[in-house]
This record gives sequence, structure tokens and C-alpha cells, in this order.
Amino acid sequence: MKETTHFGYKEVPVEEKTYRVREVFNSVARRYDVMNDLMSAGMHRLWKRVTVETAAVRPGMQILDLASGTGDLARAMARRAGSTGRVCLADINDQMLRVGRDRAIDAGELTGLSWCQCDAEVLPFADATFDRVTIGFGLRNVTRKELALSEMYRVLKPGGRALVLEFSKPTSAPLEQIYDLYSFSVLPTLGKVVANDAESYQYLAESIRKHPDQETLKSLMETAGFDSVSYQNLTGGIVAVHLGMKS
Amino acid sequence: MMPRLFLAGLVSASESAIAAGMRAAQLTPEDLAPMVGKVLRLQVTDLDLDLWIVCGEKRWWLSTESQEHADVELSGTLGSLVEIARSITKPDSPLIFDGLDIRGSVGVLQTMQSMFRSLELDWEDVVTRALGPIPAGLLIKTLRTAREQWLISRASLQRQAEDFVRSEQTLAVTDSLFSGHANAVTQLDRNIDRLAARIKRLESRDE
Repeated sequence: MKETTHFGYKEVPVEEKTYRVREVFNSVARRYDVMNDLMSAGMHRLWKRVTVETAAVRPGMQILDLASGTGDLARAMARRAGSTGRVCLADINDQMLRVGRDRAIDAGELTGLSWCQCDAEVLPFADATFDRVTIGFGLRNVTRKELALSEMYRVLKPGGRALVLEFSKPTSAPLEQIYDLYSFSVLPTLGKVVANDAESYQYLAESIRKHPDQETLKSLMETAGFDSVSYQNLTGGIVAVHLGMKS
Repeated sequence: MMPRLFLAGLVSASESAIAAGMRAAQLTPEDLAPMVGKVLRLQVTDLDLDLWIVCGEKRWWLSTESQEHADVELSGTLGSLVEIARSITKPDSPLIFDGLDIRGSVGVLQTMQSMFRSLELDWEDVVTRALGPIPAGLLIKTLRTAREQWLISRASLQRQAEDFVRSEQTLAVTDSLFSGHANAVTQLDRNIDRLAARIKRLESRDE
């Protein structure tokens, strides 16, 4: 019997999920940033800001940003890492990487940036290569999250920090109700009007609901080997930043 | 949920103000080179707030999240930290204030202080660029009016408090007044004893 996994609320064969996720992001790549601003009312910038602050980047650090997409998290960290630092933008989706590369060129921010198309479950880097490993709004799209977390742990240097920025579970029931209403009514409509793609945004809402909550993700990170795993909820738990250390 | 993001916004705006100040002061990466990688931690004890200043190659970054290690740590009340912030604009000002604790490399702090002194901080410019001229104008006007009102109210309250203390001080028993009275009573006691002894001596002489 074929091994299956979830793709939003659907059950699909494991090998099919990667392909389907790629299709979703191919479809939304060009309007990804505009949609992020619209969907979160600009809040995603502050969420990313908190993540970058938590990463505690210093000049000269080697950083890997997984599911880098259009690269705003990576560029923010590259500015802090300076000319002696290096940030590798990794994503499984070439369309997203292209958009990210174009953005970096347009912003004139190429110093210390490199791009790599790869699968977060099988990273093409040696052990203990990076001082920081981040993944922003990407882990929920990974088929085998535990594999991706183990790989993040492997490529992290001892003393390094790994950060997972991801949608999570609201901490209050009223907020959860409003959030559900927004996710399943407003979000697909916005997707249809702005990106002419309601289905991809329906998947986005569903994939968020299928993603592990704060405590489950914390356990997954601990199982992957991370020490002192902690998280902080943002916007009432709609988003959470998980921090794990490698001792 | 909001305070954390509100704080992030505030920190981001302050960071932009410092960056704009550095540009206006024409500080080059060469000027900033001695501080690259240095970290200053400000602990506001009464607000339970940590603020970290991380020196980068082209600008400085602010953070409210732990940055692991700090070259110099300033810990104190908001008042003492405001005092030190004010002192930055004055040449050769000291770094010692009541309730302020400094740990780590004072050299880093002094270099940072001299760099801050050379900045041309213009928060109004940052607000204008962030909000646009009309909303920023309204906000700045409101904040200025609020500040003026606050200063007037503070001066008025201070004056009223002083007047009250002055008018009521006759009713109040101060330490010095109490000890003065206590001394007078002791003196009177001794005089009574002395007089009683003298009366006794006179009576015995008459007998």
C-alpha cells in the first residue's frame, strides 16, 4: 500500500506532495509578496523582524535560509551578517528562487548572497556548516518535517541557532473563530481577485490547519536533537517563532 | 499579543532613525569599523525590558531578543537610562548616574557614546517618510502639544505641591522640630531637679 500524506485536507501519495506544493508556489510566485502584504495586513514584516532579531545574527556569520522564497528574511539577515558573512537562499521551487534573485538584484543587495535549489529533507551541505539555519513559512509544506528538522540540526554548527517561523494555533477561542472565518472565506476570495488563483490560497489555509501546533512542533524539534527549544507566539498564536539550539 | 509586535515596530522605527542619523552625519563604514560586531545591552529594570544594540558594518541594529553575549551591559531604571541618553549630547559628560549599573568594557560604551554624539537624530524625518507628510504632520503636532501640556502640567503640579508644603509646614512636626522640643524638655527636667536640690539644701540650712 502506498504511503500517503496530507496536502491541505486531501490525502495524497508522499511522492506527489512535493510536486503539488511546487505547482502551488509556481502559481503564486509572481504575486507572492503582494499577497503576503494583503493577507497579513503587512504583519508578516513584523513577524519576520522578530525572527531576525531572535536569530541574533552577527557580522561574518554563515546562514542558511530554507524555503527562502522571495528572500526577504534572507536579505534582512544578510544586511546584518555584512560583507564577511554569507547567506544561502535555499528553496525547492525554482520560480520562487528566480523571483527572490530578481528582488535582490533590483535592491542592489547581492553581497554575501548565494542561491541553492534543494529539498529541505536532503540538504546538500556538510555537517556543521552554518551558524544559523532558518525556515520561514516553509516547514508546513515539507512532506517529512522530522527529516527536514534533522537536516537543519545536522548542518548547524555547535552553538548555532535554528529558527522556524510558521503559522500556528491561535491561543484564544474567539480569535480562532475569527481566524477560521478569515482563512476560509476572505483568503480564497483575495487569492481569486488578486492572484486569480483561489485554489492555491485554499490550500494555504488548509495546510496551516494541518501543521503541528506550538507544543507539537517543539517536541518535533527536540526529537530532531535541538536543545533549549522555546517558542514565542505572535499575534495571539496565529504565528509562532520556534528557537532551537545545537550544543 | 500586540505589545510584542508594537515593540518590534517601535524598535524598527528607532533603528531607522539611528540609520538616518548616521547618513546625515556622513558616518562611513571606516568610522564604524572599530565597533563592528560589538554588542551593547540595555536592561530597563523597572519595565523588565532588554534592548540590545548590535553594531554592523554599515549601520547599527536594535533588538529586544537575546543576542547571547554583550560587550557592555547597562542596567538601571528608565530614569537613569534617560539621564545617560541625555548626557550623550553633552561633551565630556560622566557615565555615572544613580541606579545605573555598568558591566563589561567601558571603552566600548565610550566609543558608542561619542558616535551617538555625532549623530544627527531626526525622528520627525523618519515619521514623515514612514507615514507621509500629512499624517506625520498631524502626529508630530499632537505629540508636540502633548509634550508642552505635560511640561506645563508637571511645572504646575510641582508649584502646587511646594505651596501646599510651605503653607502646611507649621502643622507638620519635622525631625529637627521634634528633637528641639525633646532637648528643651530634657533641659527643663534638669533645671527642675537642680531647683529641687537647691530648695532641699535651703530647707536643711534653715532647720
